[in-house]
Amino acid sequence: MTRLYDALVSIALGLLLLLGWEAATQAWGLSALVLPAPSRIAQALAKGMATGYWWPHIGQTLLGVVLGLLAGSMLGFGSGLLLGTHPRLRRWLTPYLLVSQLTPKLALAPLFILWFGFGTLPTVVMTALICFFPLLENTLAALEQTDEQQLELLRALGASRWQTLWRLQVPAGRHTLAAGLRVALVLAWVGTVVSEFINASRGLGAVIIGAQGTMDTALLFAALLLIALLGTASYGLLHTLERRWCAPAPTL
Amino acid sequence: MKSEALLHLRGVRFAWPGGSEVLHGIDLQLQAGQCHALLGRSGCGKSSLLKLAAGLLRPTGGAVHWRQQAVRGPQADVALVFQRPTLLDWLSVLDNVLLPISLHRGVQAQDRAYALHWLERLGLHNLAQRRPTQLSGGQQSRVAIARAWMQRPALLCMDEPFAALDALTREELQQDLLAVCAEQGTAVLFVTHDLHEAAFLGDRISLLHGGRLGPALAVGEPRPRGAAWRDAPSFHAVCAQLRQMLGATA
Repeated sequence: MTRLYDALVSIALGLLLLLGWEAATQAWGLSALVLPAPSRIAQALAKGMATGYWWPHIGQTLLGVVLGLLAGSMLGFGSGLLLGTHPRLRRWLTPYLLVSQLTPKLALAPLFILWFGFGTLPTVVMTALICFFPLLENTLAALEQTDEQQLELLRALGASRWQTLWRLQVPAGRHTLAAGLRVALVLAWVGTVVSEFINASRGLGAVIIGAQGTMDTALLFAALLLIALLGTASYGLLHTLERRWCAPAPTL
Repeated sequence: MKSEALLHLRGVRFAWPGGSEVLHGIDLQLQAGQCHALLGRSGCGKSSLLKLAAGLLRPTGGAVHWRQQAVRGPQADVALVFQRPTLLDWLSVLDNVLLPISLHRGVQAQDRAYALHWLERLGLHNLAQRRPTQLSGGQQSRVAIARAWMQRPALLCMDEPFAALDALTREELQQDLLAVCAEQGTAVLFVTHDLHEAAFLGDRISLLHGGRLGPALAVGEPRPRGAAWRDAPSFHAVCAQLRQMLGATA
């Protein structure tokens, strides 16, 4: 009951905010160029839905996020496993990894246009690069956190190094890995949208830049709203998958 | 018949890499089916000695022989039971017990039946599909022991496996252990800091102090020993003797 009540209060607060916003734009006569009223944003959103304007942009952005996240997190996980099991290789590469991690990836976007041209490829590369590090870091952390006694148990049972990795270290570190994936997902949206600002004519990031150019602020807000909704939905989906696969205990 | 010792430690020395020596020449023989308790205070090198016997550590001096062969690594029929149950929380109880099998080959119907047999023997038969986190501490210890029995061990190396349990559960598990060992003819090397536990379990009890093993005290009480023996004068006599031996090391 309290949870339902809390949810209702939460929704009411949101509605109140929207009403206040609507009233403020009317009362103070704010220009729609600066801050369009929620009703105008909703109109822009609905119009785009009706004409099918949004779909190619949504599809393009989702493609960038999904492909970038998949490529980047798989590469990060694989590199984490490799470096985590080869301490010397890790020592050799650590300074370079650190430098590349501390370089703002978004600053590379102009370079990616030179290398990969416009469109999907540079966006996917950018997103993958951004998703790489959280997975790398968290995979390394997960491997280091393995319980000494569990490692000893596997050794006493004659497990190979490969078995120790797959049967013990990876499943034991699943929560750390999942946390890395969640961070990567959030960053994937940033990477894709910002990359689309710079190098795309399609995608929600490109819509934002286009709307800015035509001073259609309501459209810009509508695109932001779509990004927020899709981002939240993707996070929820990941969280559900995580709870299914990483459950500490089944409910009995 | 000394040459037939199942486990034979000769002048075993051990030092951690870069550290000082923790064991200074340990001699120990264990016959098949015998229970040898190693009694000592915390930090006396008990765990290192056990890991040397189990082949998890290599001695820096002397030799460890298992069935007349120098030990080069963990043996398939030597099972190790740790201080903590050390169960894998993402596997069911049954899969935890099957781990010694599933690491080496596909699990077959008879393996599953054997695992269930052990779970039943240890009073856990209706918990096979649970996760370890849903079990009490005593139940988790029993699962760890069931897992050890899956190896069909000739020797159980136990490192204070009951130390974290309440007194009643501990006594139950000690009795169970003696009963099953007698039934299977399994030898036990049991490390503990609890002199009552050493007295109840050991056919022979040695004191480990300052990295050296004292002379073994032989306990005449035949096995399996029942709960009633804990109240017998002969049990208290053994305990008193051990307390005296421990006191001499203080």
